[in-house]
Amino acid sequence: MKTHLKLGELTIYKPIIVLSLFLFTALLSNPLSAQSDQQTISVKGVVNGEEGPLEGVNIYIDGSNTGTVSKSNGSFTFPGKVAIGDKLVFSYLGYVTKTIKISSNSLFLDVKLTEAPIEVLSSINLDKPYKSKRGKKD
Amino acid sequence: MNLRLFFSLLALICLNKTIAQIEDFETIDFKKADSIATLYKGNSLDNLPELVFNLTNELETDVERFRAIYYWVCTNVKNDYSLYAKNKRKRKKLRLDSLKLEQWNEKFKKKIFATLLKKKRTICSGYAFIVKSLCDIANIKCTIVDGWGKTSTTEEDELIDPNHSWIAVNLENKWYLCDPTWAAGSQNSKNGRFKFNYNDGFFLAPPKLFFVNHFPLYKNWFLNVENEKTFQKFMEAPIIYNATYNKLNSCDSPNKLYNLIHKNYTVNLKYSLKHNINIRQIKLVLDNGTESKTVRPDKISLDNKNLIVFYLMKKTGVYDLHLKIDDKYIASYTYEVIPKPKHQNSPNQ
Repeated sequence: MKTHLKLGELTIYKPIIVLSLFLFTALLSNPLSAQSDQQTISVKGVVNGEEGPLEGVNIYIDGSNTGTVSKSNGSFTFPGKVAIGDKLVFSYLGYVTKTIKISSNSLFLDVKLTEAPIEVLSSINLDKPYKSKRGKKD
Repeated sequence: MNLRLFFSLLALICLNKTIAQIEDFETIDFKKADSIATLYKGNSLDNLPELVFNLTNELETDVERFRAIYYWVCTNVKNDYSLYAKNKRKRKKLRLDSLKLEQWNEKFKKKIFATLLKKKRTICSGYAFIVKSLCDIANIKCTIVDGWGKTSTTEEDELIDPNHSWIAVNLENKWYLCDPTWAAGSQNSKNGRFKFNYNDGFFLAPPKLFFVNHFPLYKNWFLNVENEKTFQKFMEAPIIYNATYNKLNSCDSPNKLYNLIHKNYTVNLKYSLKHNINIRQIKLVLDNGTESKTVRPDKISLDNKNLIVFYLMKKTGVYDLHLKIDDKYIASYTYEVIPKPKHQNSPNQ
């Protein structure tokens, strides 16, 4: 009889237990809950070179293809939200790439890129047969 | 142990610059990387992260990702002869005025990058820079190596200052060498027009061969292969060609372009081959300055990819001796053949 009663109780509570388990699992795996731990912000800013605003600077989150390009006045608005802790990369041909780690203070970024310190060197390969200069080795 | 030696050893350990070349990736088929790069042929350089994503997204290993980037650059960026000529002329003119040279470099640098971005045309530094920029985005460690490059037409005065840039890429903790400029194609010697003709031999090139016609400005970029090599030895080295990189792993002997020998001396040209070849395709071209003729080697020895070509120099005079394989120029030497004096040993090669 006792056992029967227990079984009866179990039958009554079964839907509640299943529902609780479901809610607990859902809470753990809910992306919204995960997002609430990882704060996101909107990021805007301006990119300048040594001589003023830079147009066409590639701005993207490191390791992704989410990004944008700076306008003629150097300004940019990053599409969507950026998670705090993400690394925003500023890349422009001929300039040193800059990486900024996003913090809660990164709502507006004033970025300055410096020109890459390169020596412009050039050598072409005509791939013609070698011809020695006669008399030079005498 | 003196301090210099200690730091040299430390640098070597840290950089792990062991001998590294394409044979390390024999099991990897680069066809997928090449076909992805071909798929995006003609893409602009306006959005580098997107280009990198497209080139590398579907590839599993860093070497394949690098391959797609490198192959794309070599098959999409042209060598610009007018930029080359202008840079060469100006650098020669300003070489003794460091301030003006720096000002010129700063100004010309902007032009180089603007031309690269808009027209996908550039010179050595631009090739190296764009490969590095794309690798940076893909998180592949890559560096620009400045130094000297010597070709069959390079004049001695062109080698007073560094004249060439190439790249070193770190894959699986080893540094590898590539020359995207020379791999992309070659210039027509008459009209200066560039023609794409991708040469795979410059991709993760054999270091020993690479240093025959490349001399890095900083010795650490010898990758522990040719640490003893001096600039003098580089200047005196034989001439090798683009096709050499497809055929040889190393160009062993003679290690000089100019050689003085006595009449009836048999020259031995020694090489290490990349792949086995048909020895019937080996030819020598002898040029005495007025006449060039194809001659048959007196003997050819091929043992486990070690090739030796023998040729008896029967006549006195000054000769350019060219080795050709599959009708492509591979190596060139100059032999000055002098009469054999009586009762004296032959001079060494």
